[in-house]
Amino acid sequence: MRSVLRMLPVVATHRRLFVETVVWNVVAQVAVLAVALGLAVAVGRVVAGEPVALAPTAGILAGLCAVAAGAAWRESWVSHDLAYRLIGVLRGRVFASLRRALPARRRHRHSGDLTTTVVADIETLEWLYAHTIAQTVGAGLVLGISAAASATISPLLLLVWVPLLVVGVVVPRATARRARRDGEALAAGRAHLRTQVIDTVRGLRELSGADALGAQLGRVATGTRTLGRLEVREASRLGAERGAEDLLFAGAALGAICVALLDGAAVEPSNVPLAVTVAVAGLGPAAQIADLLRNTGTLRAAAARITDVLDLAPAVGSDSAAGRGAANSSADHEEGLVLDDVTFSYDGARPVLTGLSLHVRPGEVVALTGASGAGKTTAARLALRLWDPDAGSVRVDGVDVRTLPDDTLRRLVAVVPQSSPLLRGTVRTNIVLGDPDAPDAVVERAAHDAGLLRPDVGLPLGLDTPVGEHGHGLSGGQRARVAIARALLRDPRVLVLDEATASLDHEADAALMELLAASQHRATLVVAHRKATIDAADRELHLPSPAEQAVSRQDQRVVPRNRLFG
Amino acid sequence: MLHRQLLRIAGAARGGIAVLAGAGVLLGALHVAFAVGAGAAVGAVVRGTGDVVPTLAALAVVATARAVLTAAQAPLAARVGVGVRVRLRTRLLDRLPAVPVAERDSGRVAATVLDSVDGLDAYCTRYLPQLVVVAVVPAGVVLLVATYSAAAAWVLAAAAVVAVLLPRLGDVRLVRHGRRRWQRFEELAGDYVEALQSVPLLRSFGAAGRTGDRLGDRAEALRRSTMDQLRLSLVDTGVSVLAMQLGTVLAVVVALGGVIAGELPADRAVVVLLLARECFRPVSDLARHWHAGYLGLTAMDGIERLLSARPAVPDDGTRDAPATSPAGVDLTDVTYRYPGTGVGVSDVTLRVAPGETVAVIGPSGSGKSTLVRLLERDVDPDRGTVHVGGVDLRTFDRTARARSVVVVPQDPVLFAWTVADNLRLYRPEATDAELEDAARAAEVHDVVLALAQGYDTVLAEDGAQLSGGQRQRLAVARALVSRAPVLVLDEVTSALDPATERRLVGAVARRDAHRTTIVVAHRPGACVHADRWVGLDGGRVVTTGDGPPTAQVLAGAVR
Repeated sequence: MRSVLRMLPVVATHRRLFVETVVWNVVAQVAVLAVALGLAVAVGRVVAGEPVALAPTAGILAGLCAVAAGAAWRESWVSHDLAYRLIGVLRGRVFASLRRALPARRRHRHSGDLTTTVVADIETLEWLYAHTIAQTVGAGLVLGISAAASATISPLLLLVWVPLLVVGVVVPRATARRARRDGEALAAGRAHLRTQVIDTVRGLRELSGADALGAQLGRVATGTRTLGRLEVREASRLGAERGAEDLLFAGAALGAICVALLDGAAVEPSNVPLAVTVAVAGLGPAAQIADLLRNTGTLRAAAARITDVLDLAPAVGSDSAAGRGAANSSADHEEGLVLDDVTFSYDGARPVLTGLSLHVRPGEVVALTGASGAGKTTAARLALRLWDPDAGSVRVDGVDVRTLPDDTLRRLVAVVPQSSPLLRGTVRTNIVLGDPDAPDAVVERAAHDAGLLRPDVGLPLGLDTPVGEHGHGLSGGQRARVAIARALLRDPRVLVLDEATASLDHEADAALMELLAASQHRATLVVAHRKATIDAADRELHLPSPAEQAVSRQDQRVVPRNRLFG
Repeated sequence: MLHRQLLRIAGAARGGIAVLAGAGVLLGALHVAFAVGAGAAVGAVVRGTGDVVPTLAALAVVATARAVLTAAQAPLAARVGVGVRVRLRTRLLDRLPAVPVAERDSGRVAATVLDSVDGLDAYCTRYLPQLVVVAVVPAGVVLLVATYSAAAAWVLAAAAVVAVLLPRLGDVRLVRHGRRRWQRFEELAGDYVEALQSVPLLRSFGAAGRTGDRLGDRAEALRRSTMDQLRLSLVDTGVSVLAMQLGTVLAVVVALGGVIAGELPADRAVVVLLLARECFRPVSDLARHWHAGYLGLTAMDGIERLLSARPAVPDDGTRDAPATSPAGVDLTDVTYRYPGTGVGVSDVTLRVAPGETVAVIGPSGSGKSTLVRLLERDVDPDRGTVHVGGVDLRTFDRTARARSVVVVPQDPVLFAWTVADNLRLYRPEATDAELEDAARAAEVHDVVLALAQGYDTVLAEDGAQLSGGQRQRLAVARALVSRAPVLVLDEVTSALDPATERRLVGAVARRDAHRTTIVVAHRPGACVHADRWVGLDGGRVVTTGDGPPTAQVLAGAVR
């Protein structure tokens, strides 16, 4: 329940709407109740043969109907307005949390899983905000009025509500654990299904090539059936409770009639229809509250998944020290990129990097080599401050990156990541990712430097060539060039190329290396395997893998690990 | 509101929907019976006439039956719904390969296949059956009331017609608004998936905050369009609530007038009061189900888009036997150009003998990727033919083609399954020993063992817990598990250090000496075992040579 409660304070961001929702809800519920009671009184009197002025009664009741309908309309408008505004606020908070927490160091969660939270789990809260909080207030009020009316007619009438406590409160409490488990399983199942569908689209080439699409469809169908089994189980539980509730309504009506029979002295004949109406009308809101209790399983699961994301630790510490670095007078503006005695591990146990030190001076191109899995990409990611090292520090031009404001750091350091990820849009939108306002001339310069504009590269529409998801529609070489142009766009002080040139042909690779070497002010770190690329660099730094390290330990030779200062 | 395409989809669950409608009508009838009995009992108590105990007993029985049926309805609907969803999801995903690559958006597809289909389920299993109930039950109530008081019956009938039909006037506009809203929803879902997959990139370029703002704007646009649509539907709801409330009040008042005038027995007025509620109960239920079900209507665009996609490659091959090993590859005068561009390959003729290893080299844009796509029949040639093992690739059925040629693409995708399931992609029946054997050959066995649950470790999205080189090696291992006689490796060692690359390439060559292998590569290490090489430029074969291509050849002598 705690996670559901944590979803409530956000209401404070739209206090006025919330108050309006409560007010209109109360007006609507009370008006509906008044119509029902008024009608019952009129019927009772006429049936008992007492005089009733029909026309004024009809007029008053019709007026109340109009009030009820108007208030109901207004309430549903305001409550939905409130709910969707709150959902917007929450979506913003959840995404903000994710964009700080990713990439995960340890617990990788699938984008399908996370999207389920941002899209579907949050949408579940519509029910909480639009149909629960204010309604509970209104329902409580109606229940109170009905109870007072019942007690006035005959205290015995209150007895017909006793079973309500059992079915409406005790039963949901008893099944709460199962409801919660089912809710969790349903939410997890939905997230799993989304990961499978997203993977199906992403890996369609492999699935088609392997004729495994059928098998994957089978997985989705199985997932749907598993979810279906849970849903049927949930529906059975909800159905049983709803059936019991329906029995309660009937029982209340019959009970009221019995009370009238037994307590004839208290219940005047003309009051019998009123007694029955009060018994049934009072149950309506009680049933609403029971509904709330019934749905807490789903709500709790959704709220827990949202809380889980909101509570994710940021990948790097806050830059509250922002600005300090910029003002640091001792900064050596000609230092370039330095990783100083850096240790980093993904799981907190086995370090990937131990005491790594490297230095790339301005104007220098350094090739970083090493076996697959040695931590080259990790080192690149630390230079970008996607994570902070467990020990040691990363400096750019003499300033610890932890003290640099994010904006400044992103202007200083650029990367061409492994496998050149591109976003949907055009070649141009991908190039200007880091600087959407870059002038055309600058964009074209970067594209030219990356070799994108050469006719044999074959972009059919030049910079306006459309780019599909994950860069679909472009060849590997084209993608690498777009990613290089993107990094060159801001003329960074530090440039990290993570196997970016692997899918370039030799000529293009050589041209790029020449361009990089020509810069006097830029420190360039190139993760590479190709001999020509390494030869074109000023220096090569070899990062030993943990296995190579083990060998050197076996040899009892004292080899200082990762001392890579050149 | 009815929708032809949707009804066709619902048609498959005709039986289930009919049962649900029948249960709904029966439930309505029980409600009416209870109202009639309770009204009579109340009337009798008020007037102090007759023994009400038998009536109360009968009512208890009706109430129990009603409760049981109510309890059974929800799970029944859920069960029918599962069938609808499984069928529709399978059909939709089966169409995916027909969607052009550039238009594939995994988040949007997921929204269509999951959220839209859930909406359709609500339409089929709740809205449609309730439509039948609304057509039957209020009419029955009106007829019943007519036997007491014609005037009250007219009032009820008029109110019911208004309450049911008035909202329908706005339906068309509502669905139009709804379709726009749904499109926004799908786009937002697609954007979230892409953004969440790209957070490292976005952070590296300081674009994460901007992307968050853009997504916030999009979410705000979705909210506006949701409210636009609600503005309509909520007015409808208000009006129909008014019609129902007023209808009840007026019908009862008219009946009371009849009682006062002595035209109607007094207890009938109580019955009318209770029956009026039963007249409108199905109507307000319909409004509720419409709320859930019309999402299905608005989501039809995405579903129709998928269902109407036409595949680029017709799936009409019938040959069910894969090419037998060893099988050669013959491309004869093959020309293919990507639609709307002049890029592709022209008049390529390439003969690869059974068991031969051929390196394909050339600068970016020379047509290497196109060649690979032709070999996996992602596209068919505009002119010329591709034969594998002497058989035209187009004549194989899907399974036989997949078992004849296996391609490891440049940026292979790993699935969020266990490592073992990933390795079994091309041959689900492979034994554990075969998986391990392939993993050893691809130098990835130790990497797998270092994972928390070894081969049973569920991989993160696209194998995020592995390094680039480890992912490539796993993809190679996956292809080695297959027994296809032709293997195409498209720069699969680009992220490997030379030593690992040499060991892996050697292991592949030793392991499958009889397997025909086509290697696309930029680096000499990837093709040291090649028997021949073929140089492409501008989509044409420009040079060839025997033995592995030398570093000089790779470094540009091919131009």
